[in-house]
Amino acid sequence: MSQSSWPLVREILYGALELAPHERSCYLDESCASQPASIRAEVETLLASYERGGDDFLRTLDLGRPPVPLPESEPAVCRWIGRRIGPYQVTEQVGRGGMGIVLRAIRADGQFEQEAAIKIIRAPLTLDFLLERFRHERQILAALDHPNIARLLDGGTTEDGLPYFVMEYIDGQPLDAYCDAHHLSLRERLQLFRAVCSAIQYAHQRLVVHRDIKPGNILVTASGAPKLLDFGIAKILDAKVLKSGEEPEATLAGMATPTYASPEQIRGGAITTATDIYSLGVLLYELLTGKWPYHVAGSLPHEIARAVCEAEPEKPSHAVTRPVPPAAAPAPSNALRAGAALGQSEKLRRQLTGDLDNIILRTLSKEPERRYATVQQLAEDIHRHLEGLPVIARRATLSYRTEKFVKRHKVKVVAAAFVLLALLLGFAATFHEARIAETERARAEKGFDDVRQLANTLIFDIGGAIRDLPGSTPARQLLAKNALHYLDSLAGEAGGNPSLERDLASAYERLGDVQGHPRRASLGNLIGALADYRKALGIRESLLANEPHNTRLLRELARNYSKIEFCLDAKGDFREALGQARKALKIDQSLAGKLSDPKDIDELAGNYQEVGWVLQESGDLADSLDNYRKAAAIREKLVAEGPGNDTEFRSHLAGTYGSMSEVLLLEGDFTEAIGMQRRVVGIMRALSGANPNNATLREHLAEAYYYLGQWLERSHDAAGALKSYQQAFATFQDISFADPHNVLARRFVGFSLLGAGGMQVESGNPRKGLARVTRALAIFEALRLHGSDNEYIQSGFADSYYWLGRAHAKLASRSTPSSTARTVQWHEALGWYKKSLAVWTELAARHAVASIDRQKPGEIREEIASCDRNLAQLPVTASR
Amino acid sequence: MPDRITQLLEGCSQRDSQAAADLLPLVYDELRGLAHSYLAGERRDHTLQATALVHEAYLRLVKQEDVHWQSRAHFFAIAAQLMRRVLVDYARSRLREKRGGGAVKISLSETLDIPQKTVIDFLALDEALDGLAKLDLRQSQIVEIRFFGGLSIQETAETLALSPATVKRDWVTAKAWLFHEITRSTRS
Repeated sequence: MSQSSWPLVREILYGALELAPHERSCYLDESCASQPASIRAEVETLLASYERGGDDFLRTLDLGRPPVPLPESEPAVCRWIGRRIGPYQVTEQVGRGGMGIVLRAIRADGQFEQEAAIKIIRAPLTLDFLLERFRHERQILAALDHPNIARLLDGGTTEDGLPYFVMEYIDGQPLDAYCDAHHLSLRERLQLFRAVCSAIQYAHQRLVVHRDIKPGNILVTASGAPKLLDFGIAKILDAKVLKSGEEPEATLAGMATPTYASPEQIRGGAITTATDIYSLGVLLYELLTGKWPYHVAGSLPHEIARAVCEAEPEKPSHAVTRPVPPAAAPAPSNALRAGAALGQSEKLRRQLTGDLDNIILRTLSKEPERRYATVQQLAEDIHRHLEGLPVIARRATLSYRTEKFVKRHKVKVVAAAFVLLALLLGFAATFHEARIAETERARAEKGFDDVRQLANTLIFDIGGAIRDLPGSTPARQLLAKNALHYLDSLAGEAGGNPSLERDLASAYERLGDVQGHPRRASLGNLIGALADYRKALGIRESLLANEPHNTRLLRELARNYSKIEFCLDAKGDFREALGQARKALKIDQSLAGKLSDPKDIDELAGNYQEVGWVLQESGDLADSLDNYRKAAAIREKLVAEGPGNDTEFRSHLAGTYGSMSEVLLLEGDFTEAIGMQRRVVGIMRALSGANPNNATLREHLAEAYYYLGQWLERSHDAAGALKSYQQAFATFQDISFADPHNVLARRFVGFSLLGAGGMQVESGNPRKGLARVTRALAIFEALRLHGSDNEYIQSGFADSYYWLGRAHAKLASRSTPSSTARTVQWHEALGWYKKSLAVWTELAARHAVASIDRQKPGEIREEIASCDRNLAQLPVTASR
Repeated sequence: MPDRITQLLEGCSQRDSQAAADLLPLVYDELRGLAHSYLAGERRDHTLQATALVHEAYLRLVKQEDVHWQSRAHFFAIAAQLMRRVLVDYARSRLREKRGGGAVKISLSETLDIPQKTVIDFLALDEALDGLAKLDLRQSQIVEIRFFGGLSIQETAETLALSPATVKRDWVTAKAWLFHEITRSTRS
């Protein structure tokens, strides 16, 4: 197609597309009459192409596919039909959804004929412990036996490793379609809904939450019985997400449509029985009004999600009188709306006003605790409404009660006071019973040792297993919090049980690690971590008072001191930190003779290193280097003896070398320092290469690149430094993508970007450098807003401001002498330098400037002086 | 950060070229991050559309309602271009992986869900778009903004200062042309 003929072809083509297919040939005859034959041929080719799929091919274009056409020969849909899955023979496919496909099957082992639905999940479970959890959950679900719940019959994994569930086959219609098809009245809809509630309540009593209540998961059989499908399966599916470390509800993309999801599901909060109550509320809303509770502009998932989290639901009684909803908004059931169109909307509005409005709005509360406490209460309230009794959802005002009462008893108003009292007593009794039942159930379910074991499994086994997987941080936090919750609740009852108290201390320590271990993947909450560690310390110190020579306890105590020291150090509280580090070292030295396990020996080295580190921060370089050398000697010996834990000891040795390198740098020995840092990079590169899935090693490697960049920067090798910073940036960026909650990595993304930007400023690229420094600044700002403000972030700000100043100074000296631009640039530079100095001054006042940064304020003062000198030479008129 | 982005966006709509230069890398990084996690199969929804990615990026970066309409449109127009680049880079890297003999993971779960429509080669679309740009630059821009940025006909018209009727004509005929172009190259 030539460029010159295209406008004409386009015009004719568009004209044709506007017409119905049978009109086109006539139109082409006319419009192409005076044109060369090739024009018509082109138009016809394009018309055919459009008809073949040109209209919507962009909509179905799947970006996740490899860029080569997949074989079209095998229709994947059918590959299951006729196959056996367990004892079942697949007969047809009945559905397909976001998570997999649903097949109809028949039991084919000759014993008896039973129909079943098989759901195959499309994501394979690859980790053993996830598979284990899948089995465990399945057992619980299989035990759900209720007339309104579709039985889970079986489950397993196919030959290809895909998990599947076998469920009772239900021949029915989705709830909303059923209500519409049978023209159910308001009362009948409420009764059907109560049957649904009874099924959910039954499951909740067995601690199973459905998590995915929607009309499509509730089928109504020909006899009118609702059957709930997929109970609790959503939770099992979440398990696979542990692998990637993200709660599926935490992202919009995790949900096909968030129409029925609760605010806490969308936000990634805790899923409880209240989640189901919310979804039931949306369901009821729709059954009664034919509308969705919120006004939304469009139908994109994020718009719906925002409405769920932020918008106030419209009163159902108002919604029914609302005209036809925008076509894009979710509008599932419309029978009652159709009724409304027939002039009944006023009647419906009256029926909904009051109780039903209140009941539904209560279920839709944004805060789970403001919804009904149980599904039973919800069902009870609907029952009360149907019977004309007062509902708890309504504020129990006297006038309301009286109104109800008068309605019910019409004439017997005389007895009002008596009935009122009876009602009140009835309420009190109901609440009281509910509370007793609750407590007893809780106690029975506690099963002291079971819970303790569960907590331990969660926190130590699973937590440990996923620790080094990229993206595992939120999953770890969840695990630690759950386990701590269990242990906390036991601690009260088990006071004086030393072994349990020790578990409790360990749990606090783990939670501290996840919350804010300053040197490992963590959520960056330093204060929270310090509090956790101190709780652990308190327990351990009191335990030790009874057993002063318990070696294991002593070692735990030493580790505890160290972790507190890490936090204090990160806070910039070096003096306190040194005290804690020395306590830890002292314990380990006293035990040194008894140490045979290489890990313990390594930990002793770790304590020397820590003391060295704090000494370094306090400015005592000679002592510091001495402690580092002791640590290095111990670790070199460990590595040379080559025990099993080679990787770990090697990476620790690299850490010691890194520290030595830093002190050497501070002492001004650049050559030695850089050489030492290159050794660190070498070791970490080898280790990370050998263990590509180990996120921690990759992080260490990235850090090593970063520090090499720093050293080179200090020895004025801008080109070398730029290269190292870029390597650091790329690696940290990858880590941060894989685990967006990893604050440490994010922080380093900022610092390496800043370093690279700074080096560009230095090597004659101030504009490029400026852009990078600005990006780095944005990262620090985001981290600060995110609540992970600390000395590191502050020093990031200080450094960013410095480089902004430097970039503008460079631009100033490049611009035309005596120009306005020059003045402006010098002013900019001066402003940024002053900002930087202010941050450093504030940090210094808190004794929180790292030793490596101590000369910076002085340098900045010189720069400021130079700005002032330059500005003084410029014409005054141009200044601001 | 959101404030900063908003500021840059406002700057862009006032034709401040430095604002645009500063904004691009931020948006690109965000899109690349999002796309990375989708395409690497870390998200559940494999068939996610570029449009939704751009919207998510917008939500994450801008996070506020009171952004001026032009700024919002500007974001989507920029993001659309960048999204195309991200996806092309990704598709290329997949191709390299394949050529280099590295294992491309095509799990069974993927074969479960093949749409019964023609499978489009993404790089072919990119190439075809380049071809269209030679024929009519504006038409290729319209496709970019609509397909990668998810703007409506009306919004596209306002962003490019065209009439909605023109946008619609260009969009419909561009699709016919592109589909013809792509299926032709796939067959050969």
